[in-house]
Amino acid sequence: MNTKSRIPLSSIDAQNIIDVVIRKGASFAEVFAEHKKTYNVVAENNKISHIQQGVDAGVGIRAIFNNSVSYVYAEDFSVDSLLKAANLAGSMGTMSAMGKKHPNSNKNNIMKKQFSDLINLKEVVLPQNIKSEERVSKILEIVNGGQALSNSIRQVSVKSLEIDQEVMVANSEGLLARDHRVKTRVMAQALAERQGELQLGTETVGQTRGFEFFEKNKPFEVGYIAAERALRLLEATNPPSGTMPVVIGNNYGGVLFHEAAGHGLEADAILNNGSAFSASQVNELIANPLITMIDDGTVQNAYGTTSIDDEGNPTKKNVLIENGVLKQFMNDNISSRKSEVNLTGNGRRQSYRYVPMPRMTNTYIAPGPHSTEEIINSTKWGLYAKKLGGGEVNITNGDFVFMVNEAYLIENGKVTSPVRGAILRGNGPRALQNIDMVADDLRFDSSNCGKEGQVAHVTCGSPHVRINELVVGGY
Amino acid sequence: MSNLNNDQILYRSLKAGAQEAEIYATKNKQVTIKVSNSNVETLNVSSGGGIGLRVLVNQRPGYAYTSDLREDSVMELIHSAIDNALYSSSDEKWTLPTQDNGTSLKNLCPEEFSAWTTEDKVNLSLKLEEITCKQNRFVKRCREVIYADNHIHVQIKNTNGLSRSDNRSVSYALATAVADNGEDIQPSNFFTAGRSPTDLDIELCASEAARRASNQLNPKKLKSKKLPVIFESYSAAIILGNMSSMLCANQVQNNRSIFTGKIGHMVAGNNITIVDDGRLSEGLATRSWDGEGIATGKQVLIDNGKLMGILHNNYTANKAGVKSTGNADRASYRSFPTVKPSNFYLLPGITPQEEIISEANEAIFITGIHGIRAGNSVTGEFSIGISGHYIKNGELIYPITDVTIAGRFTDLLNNIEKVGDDLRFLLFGGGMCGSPTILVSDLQVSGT
Repeated sequence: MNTKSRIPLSSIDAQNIIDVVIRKGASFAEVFAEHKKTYNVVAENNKISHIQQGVDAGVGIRAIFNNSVSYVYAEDFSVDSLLKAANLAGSMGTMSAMGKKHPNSNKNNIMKKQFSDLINLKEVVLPQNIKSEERVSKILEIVNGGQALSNSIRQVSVKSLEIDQEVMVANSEGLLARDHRVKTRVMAQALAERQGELQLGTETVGQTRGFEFFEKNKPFEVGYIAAERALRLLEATNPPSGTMPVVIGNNYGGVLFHEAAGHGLEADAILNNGSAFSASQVNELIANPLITMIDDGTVQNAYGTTSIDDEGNPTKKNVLIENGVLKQFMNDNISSRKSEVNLTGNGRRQSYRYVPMPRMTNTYIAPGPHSTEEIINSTKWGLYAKKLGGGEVNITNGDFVFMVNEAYLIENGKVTSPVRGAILRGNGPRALQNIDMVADDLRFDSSNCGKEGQVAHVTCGSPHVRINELVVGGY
Repeated sequence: MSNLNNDQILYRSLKAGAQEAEIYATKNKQVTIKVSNSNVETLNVSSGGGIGLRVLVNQRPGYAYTSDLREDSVMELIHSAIDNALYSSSDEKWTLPTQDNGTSLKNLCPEEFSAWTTEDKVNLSLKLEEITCKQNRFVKRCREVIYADNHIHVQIKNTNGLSRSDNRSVSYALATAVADNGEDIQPSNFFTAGRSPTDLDIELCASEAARRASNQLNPKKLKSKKLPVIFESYSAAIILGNMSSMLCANQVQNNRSIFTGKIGHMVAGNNITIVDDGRLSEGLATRSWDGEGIATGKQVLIDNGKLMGILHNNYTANKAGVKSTGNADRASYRSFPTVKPSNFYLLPGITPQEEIISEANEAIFITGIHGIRAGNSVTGEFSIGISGHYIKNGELIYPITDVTIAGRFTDLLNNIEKVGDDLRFLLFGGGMCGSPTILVSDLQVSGT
C-alpha cells in the first residue's frame, strides 16, 4: 500500500507504550490501533431515507498478568494520553485479584516479526473515492430490482454498509503488523401484499471488496431476489410439525454449523468447559464421516477474510473436523498458549474498544459425494429448509433453534409446496452425527456473528446436506 | 490543534450550507469485568466519546459521526453530513425540535456510583461467582460472571435553540451457572441491574441462576399439541419486547406493523394495559430527554385493550400531526435517531403466580425463550424455541426440551386469560421491558 496510513502512531510510539506496560510487571503487552471509516445508506419505503458516514479511531492497550488481562482504550492518539492509558493498564496488575509477576525490566523490541498488507489492494476501489451520488444510485438500483418483479411489491427497503478499516498491532514478543480491510454489504427487504396479507422477503450479500462490489454483484438482482422471496411467502402454508428428515439448503445453511458446532469449537469455550465438545475428543470420531468442517480466514473476497487477525497473526485455513474426526479448535493468543498448540489466527475483536477472543472467520462444511438432486430424490417426506434465517445455540449442551426463511415440503422425493414460519430445534453434536448425505454445491453467505457483546464479520458456508432427524415446529 | 466546541461546530455547519444542525455529544466511562474460576479473566476500564452531527439541507437529512475530535476531522464531519443530506429524499416534515419546558430528572447517576473503585467491582464479581457455585449440589461452576457499568454524559444542542444535557449511570451483573448431575448439563443465567453497584442484588442473582440451571436438568420431550401456556414474567417481557417495535411510529407509518390503522380500535383483551414510561422512577431506561432533547413522558399505548397511541420522535410526530412522545432513540452518537420504547411494560393484575400455576390442569410453564427473532412484525406471526416445565394438575411435573411454540401476536393479546401480580423488568434492546406472569389460552406447542 502506498498511501499514507491514517493511524498516526509510529512503531516507536508503540514500543514506548509496550515498555511502560511491561515495566509495570505484565508478562505480555499489546497495542491495537485502528482507524475505521463507515458509510451507510438507508432506503425505506422505496426512497433514500438517510445517508451517514463515520469515523471510529482509537487505540486499545492490553496487559496480561498470568491468567488475568487488563485492557484500556483511548480515543486520542496523543502520546501523552496513550502513555497514561498504558500506565493504567499496567497498574491494574497490582490488584490482589490479578496475578502480578515480578516487575520486568527486559526491553522487548518489537518488529522482530512483521506481517503486513497481505491483501492486494490494487483492485480495491476505496469507498472514500466514491461520491454520495454514485453510492446512492447503486442503492436505488436495488430498490428498482425489488419493484420490477410485480405490482404486489409494495415497498423495498435497503441498508448498505461499506467499511474501510486500517489496523496496526504490536506486541511485546516482537510482532508488528498492519492490515487494511475493505468490506461492503447490502441488505434488501421487500414487502409484498395480496388481498390485505403482507409478507417480507430479504436478500443479503456481503464481501471483502470495495466499491467494485457493485460490479461483481448486480444490485438490481439483490432487490429482485428479495422480492421473489416475499411473493413466494404469500403462497406459502404452515409448516408440518414433529420429527422429520430436513434437507438444509446451501443458501446460508452454513449458519446452522456455525452456531451448532462452530461456537463449541472455539478454544475459549473448550478451556472453560463451556462447550458441548471437549479437548479429550481430539482425534475421535464426533460426526458422520461425511463431515469435514473448516474455518478459513483466507477465502478470497469472503466477508470474514482478513490477512491478519486482530492480534496481528496471519489468518489460515484450519481443518476443524476431518471426515468426522475432531482435529483442532480455533484459538487466539491466550488460548493457544494455555493449550500449548499453534496459533490458528482466530483472535478477533469488534474494535479497539474490545479485547480479542477466539472467533470464527469463514466457516464451512466441505463438499461431499452426493448431488442435491440425489438428496431430494431419496427423501420420501420431510422439510427442505432452502434458506435459513437467524439462530441461537446453547453452546454448553449444543441445543439450537433456527428460523427458516424459505422452506418447502418434500413429498415422495420431490420439492413441493412452500411453507413459512418453520423453526428447527435440535442439538449440535447429535445433528453432526445425524447428517447422512452431503452434496457438492458449497456456497458462502455473509453474516454478523455476535459473541459476548462483540460483533464479527463472518461467512457461513455449506453445500446441501440432509439431517435425517430434526424437530420442526412453526405456526 | 485545538478542538472545536459544540457552538462552533453548529455555526460552521450553517456556514457550510445546512439550514438546521444538531450535535449529539457523549462522554462515557465504562468498566467491564469478566470472571471465571475465581480469576479475573479480563478487566476493561476505559473512557471515550464522540459526536454525531445531523444537518438538514432543503428538508433533506444528512448524518455523520466521529470519535476523532481534532479540528480537521470535525471539519470533514461537517462536510460529509452536508454532502450526505444532498442525496436523501426531501420531506417538508423534516425539522429539528425546539426546546420544550420539560424538567431534568435527578438521581440518574447517584453519588454512590463513583464511590466504588475498580477493585471493589472486581471483588463484587468474584463474590458473585463464589456464591453462585455454593447454591446447591448441582452447580459447581459458572460458565462466566460478568460485571459491567457505564457512566454517560450526554449533550444535545441544535440551531433552533435547544440545549439539553443528562448524566446517567447503569451497573449490571450476570451469572451463568452450570448445573451438572453427572447425566446432564444445563446452563442458565440471571442478572441484576441498577444505577450503581450498590443497587445490585448478587444474592438473588446467584440463587436464581443456580435454581434455573438445576431445574432444567434431565428435560423430556413433549408431543405436539395445543396447550394453555404460562409465561413467567421475564419470558412474557421478552415476548412483549419483541412486539414493542410494532408500536413505534416508524414501523406503523411504513405499514410494517400489525397496529397500522388500528388507533382507537380494540387490539387486546380488556384486561390488557400497556404503558411506555420514560420517567419511571425505578426504570433503567429512564432519562430526562430523548435522543433529540425532547422531554420524556408516560404514554398509555393500550388501555384496557384499546390502542390509544404509538411512540414518536420529532419527525414521525410531524408526519402524523401530533406531538413527539419523547421516544427518539440514539443507541450512541454513531446512530441516526429512530424511535424506540423506553420502560415498556404490561400493567400487573392481581393473581399470584402460584395460583395461576396451581389452577392449570394441563399446561406448559415457560421460563426461557430462545430464537424469538422469528417474530414477524408485518404478519404478527411468531414461532419461538422455549424451555420450561410441563404442568399437570396444577404442578410442575418435569422440565421440557426441544419445544417450540407458535401463534400470532394479535391472538396472543386477545387470549391472555390471567395477568399475574408480579411485574418484573429486564434489559431489552437498549431499553427496559416489563411484564407480570401471564396465562395464554391454547397455543400450538410443537415437540416431537
